[in-house]
Amino acid sequence: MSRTREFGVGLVILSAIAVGVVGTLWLKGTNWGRPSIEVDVLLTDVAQLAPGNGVKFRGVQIGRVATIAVEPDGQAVRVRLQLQESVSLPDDVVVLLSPESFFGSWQAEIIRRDRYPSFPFYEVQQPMEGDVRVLGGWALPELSRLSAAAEQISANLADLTERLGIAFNEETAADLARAIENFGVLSDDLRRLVDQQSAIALSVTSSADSALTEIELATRVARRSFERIEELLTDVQIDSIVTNVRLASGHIQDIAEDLAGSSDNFATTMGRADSTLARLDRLSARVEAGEGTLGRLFADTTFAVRAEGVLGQLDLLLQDLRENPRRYVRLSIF
Amino acid sequence: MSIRLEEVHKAFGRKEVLRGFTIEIHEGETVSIIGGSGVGKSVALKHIVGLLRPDRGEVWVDGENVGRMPQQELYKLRRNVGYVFQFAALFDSMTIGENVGMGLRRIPEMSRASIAERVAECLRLVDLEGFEERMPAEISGGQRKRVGFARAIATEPKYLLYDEPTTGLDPVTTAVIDELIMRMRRELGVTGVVITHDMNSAFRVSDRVALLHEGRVRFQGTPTEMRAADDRIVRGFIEGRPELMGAAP
Amino acid sequence: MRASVVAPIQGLGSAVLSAVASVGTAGHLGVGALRALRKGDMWGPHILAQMARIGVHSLPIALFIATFTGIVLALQASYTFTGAIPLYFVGTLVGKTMVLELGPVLTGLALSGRVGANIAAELGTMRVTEQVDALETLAYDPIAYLVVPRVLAGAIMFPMVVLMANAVGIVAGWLTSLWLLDMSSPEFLKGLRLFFRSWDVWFSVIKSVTFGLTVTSVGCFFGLHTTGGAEGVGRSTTHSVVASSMIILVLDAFLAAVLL
Repeated sequence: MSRTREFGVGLVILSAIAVGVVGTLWLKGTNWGRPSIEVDVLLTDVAQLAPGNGVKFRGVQIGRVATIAVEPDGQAVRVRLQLQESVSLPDDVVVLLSPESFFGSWQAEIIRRDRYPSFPFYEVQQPMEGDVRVLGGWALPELSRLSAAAEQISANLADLTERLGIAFNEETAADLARAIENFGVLSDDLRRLVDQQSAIALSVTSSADSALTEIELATRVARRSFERIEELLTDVQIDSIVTNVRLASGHIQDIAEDLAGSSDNFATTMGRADSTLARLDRLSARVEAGEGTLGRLFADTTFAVRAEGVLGQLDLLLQDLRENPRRYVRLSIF
Repeated sequence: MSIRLEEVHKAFGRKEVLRGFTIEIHEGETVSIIGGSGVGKSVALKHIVGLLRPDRGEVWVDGENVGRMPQQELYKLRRNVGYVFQFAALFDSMTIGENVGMGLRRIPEMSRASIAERVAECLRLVDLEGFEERMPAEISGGQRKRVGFARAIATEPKYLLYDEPTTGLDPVTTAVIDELIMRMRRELGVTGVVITHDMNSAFRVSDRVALLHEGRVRFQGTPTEMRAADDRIVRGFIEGRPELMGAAP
Repeated sequence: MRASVVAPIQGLGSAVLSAVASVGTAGHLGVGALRALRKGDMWGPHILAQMARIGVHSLPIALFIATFTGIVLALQASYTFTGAIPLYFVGTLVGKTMVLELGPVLTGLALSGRVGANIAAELGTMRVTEQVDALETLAYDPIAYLVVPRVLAGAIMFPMVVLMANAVGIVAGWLTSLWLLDMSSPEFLKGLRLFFRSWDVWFSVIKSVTFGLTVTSVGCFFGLHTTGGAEGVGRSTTHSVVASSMIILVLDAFLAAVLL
């Protein structure tokens, strides 16, 4: 009796502890003593990366993020990766941090540097520190940052509208006021772009097709808005602003109808996004140079500089979007 | 060496059970405390072993103040006091042998063999030889009571407290128990305190009898003195005439 | 003053006094139990039996509850998540809920009925049949002899039972996902691992230790303070289950607020 009781108690305690310890280690993803190597990554920012996140190479998970710590000089963050020993990495690799899924976890992807030549990967000074290899890395801007950037553009445009209002109100007739109103509409349009962007992030669509449509819609609105700005800035004659606005509206109408009918593929959407950006680039360049009547008005402000930064981010994202469309498609459909 | 309760007061909530209870029990004598049901006889008894502590008044056993004694001292004192419970209070999960040996196992110098020997001896004393391996549920009420006896005397206490030892027993078993109480005094020289409402038993086993009434000792004396007493309450109790007791002031 | 005015005030006073008194008695029991820990010779021999009773014999009911909790969690999660949220979140929900909340709390509640009531009834019976007094007269400290082994066994064995229950619940949820929800093992595991932190397991263990202490000590408290015969034993048993269930739920909220 006493013997079986002792055995029972012992068995329960042993198995419970075993369940607890083994379960915890297993869920944490311990490699159970399989040989592993450590690789360090230096970057300026780790976004949402956390210890335990997966490390992928050519799409295959080959390890985990072990630790994340800011360097003593405060100039970089050091991420230690624990990788399977059996995988040998090519020479010119870098690490790209990106969202693995819309919810929660991020991942560290080991890629060849030439895959994303324009990405500002961290420049590593010492490629080997003792036995540990050190790679440069870069964290992709998050979707939320993109939204923030678009919001910034929108705010800048609202600012511009206000300036125009102050400059012309006293001297111009009612139709100029109407033109300024149009600027208000423009700013609204851009704000709507921001909203739509958030909507894309939050809305749940069930297929890749509808995700593309969403992207396209947003791009279309952006394009329309930018075209308007450009139309307005092209001609220095204030009198012609109103006409141009009307023309632009008509033009936009055409484009909208044109787009509404067709079911564009992803490539053309990309094309349009690109040309939109090109225009925005030109716009900002002109603004910066102080060209044109309107351009001079805000050449002294920091608007151009800010717009440049925002455009840079948009450009990088767009490039990533082009190369990894699936990542973003998955974002909106999970 | 004696037991002395002085002006003991004890209340449970609003109910005052003992109201200045005073009694002295000398070494070697057996005293019965009689009284109706629920007048606090058991309460008085429990004060002697420190199971209850007085609200006011003092309890002296062997010249030590039990009411103020720290718990550890109490455990030492209790080795000298055996307590026979009303319904035996045997531990259901243990055999008779284990029950009787409980107190002995608290004594460090007792070996397993000497405990077994002493248990057998105590059981023999209450005429339950060879009952060691039985369980309490398997024996009769009278036998349980005798096991309770054996357990109380196992540590060879100087004092034995009996809580209603004969209540609910048939006359023959009552006689056996009474005989046991007398034998304890005669052969082991223990000092005894018996709580009972069985007058015959009280008169048979005691040197002195005390009547507990309304929280105090109403009368005490030898059985002969008590039989001759003309106190209304005493008469009412002995003769079983409630009208006399109800008329008391 | 009129009786109609005095009576309610008196009632309030006596209620507060008795509440304070019972807190005092409980504290006394607690202090006594801590002191009695030193008397290893008295509780040592009994702890194994109590561990068997509280831990081993409670395992079937705890695992039974955990199994069905796991199944229900998986099914309800998939029902809630349809379309909107990826299905692998079933794994996350089953794992998190099981380990953080339902494993410890449901086991605690079940065992407050099984273990707590059992202790209250046992000690209550011992109290009304004067067995507790008998222990005292035989120089046994009832707290060291009766309370300490039960409370210690509860504190040791509850976490064991809860760990097993957690594991069984998660496995049940997993199998449900595989067989009834058309999920794959990697999917379920992905969700399970997504937000897993080893602190979750510690939290579960800490919770179950406090629940073990609660259930057993409340059972002992009500058992030892039983009065009034068989009816009193019944009352103590009920009170013990009600009180420990309530304390478990309050502690649950408290620990979540403090430790998470």
